[in-house]
Amino acid sequence: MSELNVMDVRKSFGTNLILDQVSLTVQDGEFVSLLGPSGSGKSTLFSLIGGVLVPDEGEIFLNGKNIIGQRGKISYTPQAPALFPWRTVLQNVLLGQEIAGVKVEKYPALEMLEKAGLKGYENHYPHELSGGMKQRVSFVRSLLSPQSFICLDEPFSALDEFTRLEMQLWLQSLWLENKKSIFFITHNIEEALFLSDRIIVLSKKPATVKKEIYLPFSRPRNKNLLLSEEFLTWKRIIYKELEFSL
Amino acid sequence: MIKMKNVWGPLLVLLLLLFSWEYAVQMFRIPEWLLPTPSGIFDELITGWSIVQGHIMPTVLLSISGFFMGSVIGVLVAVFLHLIPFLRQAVYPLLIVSQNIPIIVLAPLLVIWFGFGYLPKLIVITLVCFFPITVALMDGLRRTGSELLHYMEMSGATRKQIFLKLEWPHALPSLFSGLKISATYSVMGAVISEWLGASKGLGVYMTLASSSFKTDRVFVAIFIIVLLSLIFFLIIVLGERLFVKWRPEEEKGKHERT
Repeated sequence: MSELNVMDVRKSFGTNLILDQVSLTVQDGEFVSLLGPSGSGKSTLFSLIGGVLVPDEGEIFLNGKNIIGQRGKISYTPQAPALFPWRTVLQNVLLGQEIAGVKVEKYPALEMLEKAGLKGYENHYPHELSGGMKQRVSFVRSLLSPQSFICLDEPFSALDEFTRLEMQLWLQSLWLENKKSIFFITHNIEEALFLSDRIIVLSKKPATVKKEIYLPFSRPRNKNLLLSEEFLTWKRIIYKELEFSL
Repeated sequence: MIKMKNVWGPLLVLLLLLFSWEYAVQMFRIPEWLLPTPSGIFDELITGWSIVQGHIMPTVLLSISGFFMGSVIGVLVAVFLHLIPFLRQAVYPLLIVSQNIPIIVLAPLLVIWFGFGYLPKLIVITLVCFFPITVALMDGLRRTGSELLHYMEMSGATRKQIFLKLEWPHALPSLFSGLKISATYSVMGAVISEWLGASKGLGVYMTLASSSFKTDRVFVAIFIIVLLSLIFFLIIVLGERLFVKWRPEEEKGKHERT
């Protein structure tokens, strides 16, 4: 069980108001995307959930417990892969468990790396991997962390279009298998539509929740969905929504 | 790895220099006490080996113990100053200023306080060695990638974990560059400290040679000192290869393959 509740959160840096009365929930096992223009405070919201920052007002609950200012409650995949260059791939994906202080389990990690298409790279160093592979290692690290709530901060934004689609399909398959709750930041409309159960649209700064959209597409989703009429209709709706907020 | 191709150029220049030295000395009839020829120096190295031989080990041992002391203190100071920001702000500027005091002017003081024994020599080398290590290590500890730090914080890492799993491994290459500098300094420090007064050592051999105008022996001493410095340096490089298997420059994302 892992359910996130963000209630009336407000955060400013000096006189600069970033988040204004942001309220949202992520249900257990749900895939929710947070969509908003660049600089709208999406990453700030993640830092608040991660406990690195503290909100000026409002509450943040995970499974009914207040987690304001508490670090290590969520598992985090940053925008840049943030792999440790002196650790091998295997040592990197085990880092989440090491930090959490739980028993480090090697065999599930090897299995997960195999599923991520990284078999044979366990003992390689990050500099030997391609951008997509690094990002997969970074996500496997999150999956192997003991926390059951995963926050992904624009994990595919640095990848090219082809690699990105591949990674999205891969992420979907892993998520369907593991059913951890995922909270996904992106500024890419297609990506949000393709992956999510629900999209939360943020307005530009100061950010508030502009709209929540439940997506009816069945799973597993594949490439064909991207060009279907239904998909494009939804894309238009969200595009207008974002346009107004700009 | 040093490629053989890269060795030929410098080797050629070196040989050329030695040859012009040899012939210049002969051509201008420079007296041997002023400037001996390279071949004369080599002769002295061979024939006088029994004399210089006994002076090498004391200097080597002194360098190693001084280097070891300097490294331990250097690492400890860097870690303490890094972990206690208040201390860093207070002490670091003083540390920098203290480096403007030439060690050689401290030597007479050390002799007054500690006599001519082993201790003042060890202190000289330690003083010479610790600073490059402290500065390099502190720099490495502070320059950890902000993305990695952010990941550690979001994941709930403790200060201890951040130090052990992020800052320390990240600073290892910096530590090794500090160690390389200090390793070569240690030999210099040992020789200088032996000038202060000792019964054995390359510094002693050198003073004896220069006061009796045996210039070829001075050069023999210089040659051995250079050789020792190089060997020390290479040992540290080997240590670096052993401990730092990753490529530090990759963090800046320079040569990313996609």
